[in-house]
Formats: sequence, structure tokens, C-alpha cells
Amino acid sequence: MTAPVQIEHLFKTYTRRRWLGKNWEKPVLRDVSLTLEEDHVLGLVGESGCGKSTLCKVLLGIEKPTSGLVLANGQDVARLSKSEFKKLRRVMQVVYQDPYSSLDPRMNVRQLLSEPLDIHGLKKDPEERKAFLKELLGAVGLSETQLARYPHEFSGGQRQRICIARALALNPKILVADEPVSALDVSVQAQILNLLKEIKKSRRLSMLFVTHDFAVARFLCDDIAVMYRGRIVEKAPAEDLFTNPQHPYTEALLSAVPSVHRRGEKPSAEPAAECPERESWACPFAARCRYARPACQEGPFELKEVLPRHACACRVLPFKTTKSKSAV
Amino acid sequence: MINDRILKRIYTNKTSLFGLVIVVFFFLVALLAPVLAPVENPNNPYQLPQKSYEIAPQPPSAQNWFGTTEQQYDLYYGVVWGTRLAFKIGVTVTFFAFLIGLLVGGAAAYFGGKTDEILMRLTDVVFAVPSLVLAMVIAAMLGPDIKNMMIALTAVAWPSYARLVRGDVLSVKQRDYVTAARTLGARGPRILLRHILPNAIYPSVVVASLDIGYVVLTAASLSFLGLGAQPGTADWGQLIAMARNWVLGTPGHPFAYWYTVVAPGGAIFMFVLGWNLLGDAFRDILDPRQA
Repeated sequence: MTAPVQIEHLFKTYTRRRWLGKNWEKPVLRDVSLTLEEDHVLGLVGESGCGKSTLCKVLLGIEKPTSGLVLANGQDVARLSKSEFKKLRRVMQVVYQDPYSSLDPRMNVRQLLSEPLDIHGLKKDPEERKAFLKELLGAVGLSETQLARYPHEFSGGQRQRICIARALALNPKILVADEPVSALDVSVQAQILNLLKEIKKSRRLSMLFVTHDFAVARFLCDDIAVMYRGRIVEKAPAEDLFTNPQHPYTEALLSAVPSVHRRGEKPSAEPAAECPERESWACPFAARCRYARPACQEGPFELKEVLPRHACACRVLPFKTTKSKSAV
Repeated sequence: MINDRILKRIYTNKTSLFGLVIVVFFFLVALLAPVLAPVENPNNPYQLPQKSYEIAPQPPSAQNWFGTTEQQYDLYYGVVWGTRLAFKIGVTVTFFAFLIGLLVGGAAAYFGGKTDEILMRLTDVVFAVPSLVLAMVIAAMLGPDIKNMMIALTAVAWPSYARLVRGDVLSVKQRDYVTAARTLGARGPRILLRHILPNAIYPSVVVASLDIGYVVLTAASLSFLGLGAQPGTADWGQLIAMARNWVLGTPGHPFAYWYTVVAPGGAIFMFVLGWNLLGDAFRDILDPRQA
């Protein structure tokens, strides 16, 4: 059985052709490899601008990969023809970050939910469609009476429910959720997360869940990959990652999560604004890292398995083990 | 929902209500023209009735409510049927200019790259020449006729729509719901027709409402210069052209023939004013800072 999503050595560089002079290039994803296992939720965590959303765009075919392989449902997304990709869309659907801008303001709920069905020519019989829409709305906690309403009449949480219903209309197997709760306020976040968890279970979805919030990731994800400046720096099963973070960046992110149980500890990394990108470092995080050594400037950047199913890309590593060794 | 809001704003704002009243009044005049001024030449209702061939205009009387102009053309008939012609010209020209602008601007923004570059440079070429001068040149080349004048006016009016539509399509194209439709599997035509255009044309519709008055004013200029309606046509510009020799009155009586200018001039003035007030109201309503 192939994994729902498999990404190997993906590079993505944005290029702007200049009329005169050099082309402008910005590498956004560098050698990213990821696997979303069947029936799992893979969390992709990282600060803003690290390439999480670009990864989703490449996976969804909105952007073309510069190099590397992206397999969705076993198919190479970069090589699919338009009609093959359209078929793939029924298997893989997406929920976007901002429920205010991802719904067309001139369409009512009925039109919004019918659109995916119309595009793919499904449930054409009016009676069947009516029943289907009713069931769909029920599944996301909305009611049939709201079909004639327009997006601006709903709250953020309800809009996100509409977005989820729209994604589910095609009965996909893979759901890409690009920060689906970060635009919502905290009380509503919890409702949407519960809904996603419940839907994931009832529909046996495999989900790629992008977020910058560890608390959210912890609630929902089975596996977590941490990204920094276009690279995966650490990936591990969720509980492993939280209890035993291996990469200094993960540690820094975790220490930045506010907690009522912990006191006195300070985030263990320099603020991002103070450290400009330094290409001379082989490790992208070294400029901010408090464990950085001269060795971090050299040698290839590699993601190595340091514990069973737990990969990390730190050279001074595994620093936890180093620490315990020095203690011994 | 938006329409309700616009109507409410118009009703509550006195100047915009005034604009609406003027436009509605003119619309009724145009609609009821055959009743208000019975046609005398069924083959061409825009042909002004001529009582005699006497040169000097006659002041308003029971027979000629607004008086007569040079060669005894009835001014009342001219103003009433001129209203219908003004609507015909204004709406037709604006409609086609809007349509061309929509196609050119929409294609430029949607396809981007070279298509965009070529279409927008073409637009710039038309923009670079003062519109009245360009319209005169085109009208003169095609020959004096109302249809040719409308072609000339359309040819100079479309670039502003092309630019406006292009800008709006470019911005709507970036919105998340367009990407969302694409990830649902929607193809180009569906995205363009269902999502982009309905959300992008609204500002252009407002400009079109402002433009109707301006087009009629330009049409009157062309007719005045002899590049549009022929003498004897119920056209406001043409009526003013016929008043040209009488504007200064007679020695000692500078306003002796005031009615020859006031009747058609007042009609043009009120018509343009009405559309401008209405267009201003639309613009204010759509300004997000006021909403």
C-alpha cells in the first residue's frame, strides 16, 4: 500500500525573471522529504515564512516543484495531465487558513457546497443532492436552514465549517489543512479542532495538518515534522517530539509555548529578526542556536535517524544525549 | 444585499437623490417621447418638424413651447426626442466600451505575461491621444453620421474600462476563493465567469454610470462640430450648433434669442449633472472607508 502523500527531496525556488540583470531567486523549500502515512495526521510545524504553505501549494498543484518527487495517492503531481489532476482532486482536498477570504462572497451556502459536485458531475439528481447537502451540513454541525445564506452572515467558526463541508463534499481520502484554525479565536479553535478530529476518525482521512501552534499540533497529530527556513529539521511521532525534542530549534519552539506549569525558563533562541540569513552556515538554524559550534558551518545538512522513528538534523547531536553524557 | 444598501444611501443623501430624480425624469421623457411630442415623420422620428423656411428663430409660443430655432425647427420636439437620442447614444456607447474594456482588461489580467503587455500597451496608445481629438479624427474619417459618431466615441471610451477591469481582475485573481475553486478542480472558464468577473466588475459599473453623462456631452460636442448628427436631427448638440448664429442676439438686445441656447443647453446640463450626481453617490457608497 502506497502512502497517501510521499514527498522526496523536494526543492522549490521562486524565480523572478528580470528584464535586465540577474534573475532574482529565493529558495523556499530545500530537500524536503516527508511521508504521510495512511490514516495518520502529519503535523507540519514551523514559524511563518518557513515554507509550510508553499509545501501545501506544491502538493495541491498550485505551484510546480523545482525538483524532487511529490506523490499524492501514488501519483506524481508534477506529471499529471489536467484531467488526471482533476480526478486526484476528488481524493485530496484542502481547508485553507482564512475562512473570510476562501469563500466567494457572492455565493450562498448551497452554491458553495454544490460547486465541487457540479465541477465533478456528481449527485446530479435534485433529490439526491438535497439529501447529500443536508447530510454534509449535519456532518460539520450546520443545519439545512442555512443553505440560502451568504458567507458574510456567518461567524469565522461557521465559515470554517462551510469550508470543511466543501472539502468533504467530494469524499476525499486525503485532507490538507493549511493552518485551519489560526485565523479563529481560541474558543472557536477548539470546536473546529474537535470537528476535524471527529471527521478524521469517522471518514478515515489521512491529514496533512499545517500549523505554527504546538498545542494545536499536539492535540491532533500522530507525527510531527518541524520546519525551519525551508528544511525539515526534525520529525518524530508527536509524543516523542514533545517529551524528547532533539533539535535545538524544536526545543526553542517548545520553550516558547506559554505554560502554567513551568516557570522561570526563557525561550532558548535569539529572536529571528536579529539574525540575518547567513548562507555560510550549513545548518540554517546555527545563527540563532545557542549550541552552535564552528562545525555547524561545514558539511552537509542531513536529516539522520537518531532514535527509532525519530529523525533530527543537528550536527552537535543528539544534544540531549550529549548533555546526559556530559552529566555522566 | 449590496443593492439595498446603495438604494438606502441614495435616498438618504439629498444630492444623490436629486441626481436620481433628474435621471429618472429624463428616462421618462425618453420613454414617453411619442406621447409628449407626436411624431410627424414616421420614417424618421428624429427628424425635426419644420414649420417654414424663415431664417430667424421664433420665441416660445402656444404652438412651439420652447420656441423655434434657425429655419423654424421646433425646439420642444428637439429636446424631447433628443433625450431619447441621448439615452441611445450614452447607453450604447457605454455598453460597448464596457464590453470591449471587459474583454481586453479581463484577458490581459487573466492570461498575464505577453498578452497583458501587448493589450495594455495598445490601451496606452489610445490613452495617449486626447480623447476628444481622437474621437474627432475617427468621426471625420468615417464621415458625419450618428452611427459613426457612436463608433468613434466607443473607440475612445473603452481604454479606461480595460485598465479598471484589469486591475480588479488582478486583485480578485489573488483571492483565496479563486485558489480554492482551482483546488476543487474548476477550470479556467468557470473560474473566470463564476468567481473572478462577478467580483471584479462592480467598480467598472460605477464608472459606467458616471460615463453616460460624459459620453452624451462629448457626443454633443461632436455634433456641434458637424461630425455627428446632421442638421435637422433631434440632437442636443445639433440644436446648439443651429443656435450658433443667434447667441449674441441683435444689436441692443443681447438675449433676444436666449431660448435657442437655453433649451438644448439646459437639457445637456441637467442630463450630465444628473448622471454625475448619481455616479458620485455610487462612488461614495463603494468607498470602503465610508462603508
